[in-house]
Amino acid sequence: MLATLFWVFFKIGIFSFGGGYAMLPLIFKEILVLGLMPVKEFSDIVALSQMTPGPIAVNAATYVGYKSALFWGATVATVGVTLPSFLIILIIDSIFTKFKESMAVKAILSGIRPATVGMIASAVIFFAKTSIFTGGFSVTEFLKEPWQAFDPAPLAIFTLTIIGAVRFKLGPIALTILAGILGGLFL
Amino acid sequence: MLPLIQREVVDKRDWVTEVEILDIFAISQSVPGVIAINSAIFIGNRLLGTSGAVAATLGVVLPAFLSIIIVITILTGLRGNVIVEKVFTGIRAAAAALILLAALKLGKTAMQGKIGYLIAVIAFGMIVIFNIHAMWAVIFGGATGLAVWLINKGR
Repeated sequence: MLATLFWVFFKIGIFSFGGGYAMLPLIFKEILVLGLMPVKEFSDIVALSQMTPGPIAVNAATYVGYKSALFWGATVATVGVTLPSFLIILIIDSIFTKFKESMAVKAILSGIRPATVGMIASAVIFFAKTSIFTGGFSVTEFLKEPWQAFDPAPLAIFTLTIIGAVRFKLGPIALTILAGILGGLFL
Repeated sequence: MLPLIQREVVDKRDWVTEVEILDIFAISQSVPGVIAINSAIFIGNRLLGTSGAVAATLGVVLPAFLSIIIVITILTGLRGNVIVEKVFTGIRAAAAALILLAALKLGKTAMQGKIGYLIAVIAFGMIVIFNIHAMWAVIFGGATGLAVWLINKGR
């Protein structure tokens, strides 16, 4: 189990361009494949991570590791997800200038960056599935009857969160607390 | 988190210069992993080599690690409570909104030209519609970026 956890999070660490949010679809996939926990439970912890200190990626790795194999699971998963960055940076720091100016590296990154935008957008769908969408979500059903797919009360919280962030410039901690209160009162 | 790092290591402690830190942030965004952790690894390595990198990584990871273990301990006692489940549905809806805003914000800077939009849409479709492992979206994006560059260079 520990070896599997390490390998899974090491793999996630290698492909986690674009930071924590872009890592989410990778983790979702591995959780589903390995059957580590219900997707909903993982979504909860990521949602809560908006309020706890530290990068979401570490929070998520620690949580999945702990749930699978307690303290050592958490340790192994966290080390696994951090190690690729660690090794890559030690190598790159020795060829810093070359790396910084390489046109080929720039070209590859110019393609990876938009891909991570797509990855982060896909994470929105995962969260929507366990909150604002009724039941499961399938693209064909969604295209047929878009409004049937939404659960109105969570959709209202979703909309208010966007308004709170864009119009009133509230931070993620305040927005998460407000959404939790609204959920407890009205859902 | 980046302004915090900058204040601490440049202004307060003089570990790296103003110019160095900007380079470090830029490259930290270009390699896999979280920018804050990557920057810490860089700075630790610059100061003390590998052992510095290890110390900096532990320092930046530990608060997140410990806070999640505390959260798990508290949550386990609350599971199954009807009100708590409702609160969490609300929080998940907020997370969906916050992540959507993050995607839009990143999209503004990350997508340059039609090819950028195309890559983003294909990456999204690969994961959401075809259920493909997201690492293939990264590989696809990198390969497309490289191919476009090689084609333009060949002209």
